[in-house]
Amino acid sequence: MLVPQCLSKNIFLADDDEDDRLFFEEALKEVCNDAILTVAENGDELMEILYRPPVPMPDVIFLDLNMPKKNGFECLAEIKNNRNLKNLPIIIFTTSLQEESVRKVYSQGANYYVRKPTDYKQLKLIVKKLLAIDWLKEALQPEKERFIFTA
Amino acid sequence: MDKNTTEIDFNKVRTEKILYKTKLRSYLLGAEINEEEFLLDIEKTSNNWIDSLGLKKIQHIPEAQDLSNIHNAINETAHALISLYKKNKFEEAQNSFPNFELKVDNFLLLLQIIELKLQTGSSFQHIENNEPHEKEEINALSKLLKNTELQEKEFRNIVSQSSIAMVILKGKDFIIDISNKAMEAIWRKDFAEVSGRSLLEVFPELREQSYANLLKKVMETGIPHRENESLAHVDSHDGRKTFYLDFEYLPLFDISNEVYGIMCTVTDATDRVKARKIKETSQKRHIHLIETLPVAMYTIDNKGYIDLHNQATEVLWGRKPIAGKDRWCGSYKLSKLDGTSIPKDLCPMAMAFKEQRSIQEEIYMYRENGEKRHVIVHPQPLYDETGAIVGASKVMIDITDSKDAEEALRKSEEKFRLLASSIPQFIWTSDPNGNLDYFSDSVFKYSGMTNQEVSNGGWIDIVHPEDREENISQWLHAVNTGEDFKFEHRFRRNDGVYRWQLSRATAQKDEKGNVLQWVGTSTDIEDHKTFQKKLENLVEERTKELKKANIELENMNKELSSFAYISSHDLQEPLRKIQTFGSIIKENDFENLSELGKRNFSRMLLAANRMKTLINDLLTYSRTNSSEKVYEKTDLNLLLGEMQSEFAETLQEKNGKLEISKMPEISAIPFQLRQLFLNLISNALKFTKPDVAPVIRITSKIVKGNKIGNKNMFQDKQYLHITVADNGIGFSQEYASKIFEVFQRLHGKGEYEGTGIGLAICNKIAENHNALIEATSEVNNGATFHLYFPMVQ
Repeated sequence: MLVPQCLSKNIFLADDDEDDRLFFEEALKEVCNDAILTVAENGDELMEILYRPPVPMPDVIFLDLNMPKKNGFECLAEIKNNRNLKNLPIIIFTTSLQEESVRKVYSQGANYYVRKPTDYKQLKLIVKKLLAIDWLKEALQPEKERFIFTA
Repeated sequence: MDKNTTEIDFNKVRTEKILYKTKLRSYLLGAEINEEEFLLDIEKTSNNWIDSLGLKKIQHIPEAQDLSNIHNAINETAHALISLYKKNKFEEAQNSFPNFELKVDNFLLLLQIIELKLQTGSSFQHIENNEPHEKEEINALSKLLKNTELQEKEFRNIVSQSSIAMVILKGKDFIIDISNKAMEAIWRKDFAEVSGRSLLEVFPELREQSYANLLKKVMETGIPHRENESLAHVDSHDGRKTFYLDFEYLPLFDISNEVYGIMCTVTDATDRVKARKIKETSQKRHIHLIETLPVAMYTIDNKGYIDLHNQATEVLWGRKPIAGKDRWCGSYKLSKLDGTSIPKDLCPMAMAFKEQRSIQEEIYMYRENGEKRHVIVHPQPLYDETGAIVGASKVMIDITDSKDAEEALRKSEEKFRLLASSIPQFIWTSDPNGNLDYFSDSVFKYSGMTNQEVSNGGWIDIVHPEDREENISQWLHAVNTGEDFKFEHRFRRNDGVYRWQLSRATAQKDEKGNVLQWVGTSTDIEDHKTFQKKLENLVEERTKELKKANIELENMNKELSSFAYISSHDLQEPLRKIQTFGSIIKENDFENLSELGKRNFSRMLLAANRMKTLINDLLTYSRTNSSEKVYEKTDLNLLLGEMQSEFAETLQEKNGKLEISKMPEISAIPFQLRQLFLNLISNALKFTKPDVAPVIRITSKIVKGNKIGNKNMFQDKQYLHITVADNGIGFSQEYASKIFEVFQRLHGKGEYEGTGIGLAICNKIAENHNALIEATSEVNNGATFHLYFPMVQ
């Protein structure tokens, strides 16, 4: 099987769950060992980092929805309303599979919707595929049916 | 002189007797004459005459004794007639008058004979035997009568002094010779006016009447003519006047025995006739009145025999009384009201007559056919002028019908009272103006008040003061409109306790709709009211409890929902972590574990996986519970087609078959129906026999509710009966209903996977669709699930 290239190297993760952050780091290390991961423990922190220059802009942001302080929906809205940030690829990374949430973030302009997999192998596979995406080529939102990203 | 005296006496006696006769006749016909004076006068005259004449003078004449006897007989008869007349026996008196008249005529004849004998000195025999001689004698008498100046004077005197109207007419032309004042009163002319003139010339109107002819006849035949109450029209200056006259035309003979004149005596009977006519008319009217009177009336004579009776009497008695036979009473039989028989001679009529008193009594009269009549009788004695009892009259009023009606009314009233007093309800009546006029005994018993106290509006005292105003206003409304009265109010019992009563009254109306009376009832509804209140309280309490239970249930539901949320999110999260950590270890460090460690670690991962399934099923179940019921037209062919692809992998794996026949559309909640079939089919594919390829058949047919055999189904609604049959291991029929309960498992976890929630979810879904799910099975012989879905919700 051809291993896809790891195109995104500067990666932001906003998740309040320590375990999930651990799983993500582990998986990321395995699929793309030269990637740089910047972690925010809630929405406020994410936005603070994004607004603080001269930090280089991330290649992609993994955004949890249920977070304390500023939640994922608010962050998404804020990012999409910001001229400098609105082109950043946003991947929703959550346990929720409520249709309501899916519809909402799609309309807000998120790029993909990922349900945190239970199986570690699955997680690695998803992360690997997502990092192989060339966001310059795939700047637009996918169709609704392909919005929920699976391995 | 002697001779003259004798002659004068004879004439005087003759005239007197004629006058006497005329007077008596007038008297008997009702003329106003003082009878005592007149009797006395006549007797005296006669006595004087007898005395003065002296029987000695004529005793040698055999007729003298006869004359005396006749004279006495005349007086006797006159007395008898007057007596009869005085006893109001007018007719009898009048009928007997000719007898008197005959006697007078005999007297006059005798007198004439005696006179002749005296004058001629000849014997009676002589006269008889010698006709010419006799004629001669008579002529002499008439000549004497006519020509004697003295006699003429005397005659005139008698005529002019008489109170009876008299006139003497002479000759064939009826020349008025002598008349008196009484006559002139009838004529309404002076004597000077008529004297010496012909009667028919003075009164030409007499020609038209019978009088002229009568006078002529008397003149020609010499036979006297008498008539009573003859109608006469007499003209004068003041016009025509009509009289009823009693008159006599007596011929006057001259010596040659020729009639030379007529003596007319006239009595004016007009007043008497008129009075009698009035009396007769009124009597006739009376008789007619009595005859046609609806009231029975009859009279008895002085011997008790029934003489007069009217038609109503015959109707009452049912027979015609027989004259001279029926005495006292003509009824067939009589009895007192107590039934004691009354003999006829002791009947009220007899008693009234015998005891001379008026009686009023109620008795029974029986007709021959046995019919009994209730009669009020009222006999009264009848008296004549002298106060002597002459009979009795009796009025009889038949009150049988009114008595019967009265009795019927009394009985019905009695029945009503009895009924009214025997039921616990209060019964009362009121007149059309709303005045209560009757109360049943129960009212007095309840209130402790007397009839007097509750009457005349006193009943309002029984009503609770708070209810009175409305009570009166409602009652007046009913009375004014005639509408039914219905009112709940409290009545005070004799111990002061008020109890609720329901009063109703309805107006009794006649055909015209006028209210005749009101009949009302009052029923004690205290217990009913108390019970109702208790019931209301109970219902309120229960409702509260129910509300409370409902709230609890709602809370429980909320809790359940939150449990579902917790299990879906909070419980799932740590489980997911366990699984993820497990999978990391399995990926990276599994090989480093010992063999035992590897086995334990694998079982741990399986347990975590089972837990995940359980949580998911619970979530589905709770979602099934709480979701809203929105029915849509659902194409079962489409839905079951999805099942084919859903289970394609498993079927291939197990070499199984899913056979689905064509299905109609039904109203359903699509995602629940999908869940239902998922569960049933996965169940069928789970409990398969190890060495038999699974075959699942889904078929359907439409049935009517009453064919299902479940009373919870709508009996006349159409249902779709879907069967899902497999050829798996089946189960014992005794568990057929248990399998639909939550967490019920028939097999160990090791044998077959599952949480024991799947069929409970199916049952829930069926309930949500007002459908029925049943299972039939035998161990090792497959299972069949029957679903009954209403075609339309």
